[in-house]
Amino acid sequence: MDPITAFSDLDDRALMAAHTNGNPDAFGELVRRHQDRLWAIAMRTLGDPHEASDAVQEALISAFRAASKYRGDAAVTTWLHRIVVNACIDRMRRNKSRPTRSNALDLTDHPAFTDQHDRIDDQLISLDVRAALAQLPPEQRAAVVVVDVLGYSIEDAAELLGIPEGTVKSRCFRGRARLLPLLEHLRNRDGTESVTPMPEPPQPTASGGE
Amino acid sequence: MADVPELFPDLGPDDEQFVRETLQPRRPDGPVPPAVAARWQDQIAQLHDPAASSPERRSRPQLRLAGAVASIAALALLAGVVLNSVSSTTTAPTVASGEAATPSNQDNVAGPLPIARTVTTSGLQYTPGAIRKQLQTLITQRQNKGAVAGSDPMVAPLVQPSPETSMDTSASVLDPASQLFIADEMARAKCFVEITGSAARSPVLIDIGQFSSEPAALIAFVTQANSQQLDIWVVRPSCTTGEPEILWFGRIQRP
Repeated sequence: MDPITAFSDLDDRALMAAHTNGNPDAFGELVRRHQDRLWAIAMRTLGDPHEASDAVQEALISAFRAASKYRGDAAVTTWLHRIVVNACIDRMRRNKSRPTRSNALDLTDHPAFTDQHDRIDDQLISLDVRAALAQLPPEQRAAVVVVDVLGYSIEDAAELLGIPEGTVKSRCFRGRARLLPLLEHLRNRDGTESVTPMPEPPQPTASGGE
Repeated sequence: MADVPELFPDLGPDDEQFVRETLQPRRPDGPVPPAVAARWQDQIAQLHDPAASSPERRSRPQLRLAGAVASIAALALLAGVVLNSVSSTTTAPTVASGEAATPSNQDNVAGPLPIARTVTTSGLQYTPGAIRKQLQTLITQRQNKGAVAGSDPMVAPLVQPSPETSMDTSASVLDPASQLFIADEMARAKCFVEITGSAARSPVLIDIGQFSSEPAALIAFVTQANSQQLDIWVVRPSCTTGEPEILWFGRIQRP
């Protein structure tokens, strides 16, 4: 029987149980169900399709191996999202001093990356936002992306990131404060102002940036 | 990272609102590209290799893992012996996993890569963008030096290091985890089982270098579904503990 058909009646927790009991198709089906969201999280967090692809793949390997440790105290999606976010944060830490590009896949022609249907203005703003986010320390970037870009509530973000709600709020606040001078040139923009070059990013503070 | 105060100017409500609005996506998130989704599914399928341990089997006692390690060591030894004899008597292609290549793909594809039974210490700074070129260098030099199937030394520095791209790989300088990784074949086999999920796959290249300025081991396996591709894992040398920290994974065309 086609595994997709066979699993159509199973919810995520049942799929996890099937996987931990040795069903060879259950984890793949779980990934298929949520791959678009996992991809979105990684892309919004890392801003690079190659990095995002590798981050999710690392996360899936981790999730596959750690499935037996899933206790069911959070939704399977939250558990998966958390693993992906952590994989993204790990990659951001590793890549802090050197931007990397994978040559494993050539994705540059995919419509998702070319933005060919976007207006030029939106493209430029998106590029500016991406560049500004890249200036944030990994933990701040993750919090800002999860809350402000992906639209999670503070409560859900806290669960997703595995930190207290107050920490989410403070990271978001400090992240936004750090982003303000980097995005200021986009304020009150009309159709042409967004092409103004971005200002130089502020120097890291003595506190280490968190 | 600890949350400590930072000296930022006050972020007024208007400023905060502006930043939040600016951050909102201009367009909805698109679906994952099919090539990426296929790669993920392929990776998951590999983790489910029939010879691999299932999650349930993984949690069983060390005895089973030790058996798997012994099996892979025996397989590697046997394959090495077979390769030795085959390489001098026939041109019949054999892929690194031991499977015979089909006649249809013999004309236009690169020949089989021999199984790597020892570790090289290039000291290269692996980067995802450069790995294919780095592999080309490693494999070419390995072949030129005849470092195949029994003739390569236990530790074989292959690449002339340069100050910018490599570390000092003399045995006395390598960190303990790297030294153990090089010296203990059984421990390495444990690492391979953990990262591939299979005791049946043999690497075609094992090299100690660096990743993000930290010691790292690059391990290359021929992709199971396509002998012209390589699955590349970059892991911490402490992978020998059976708890691999995977630093990078990618699938690339064979150099």
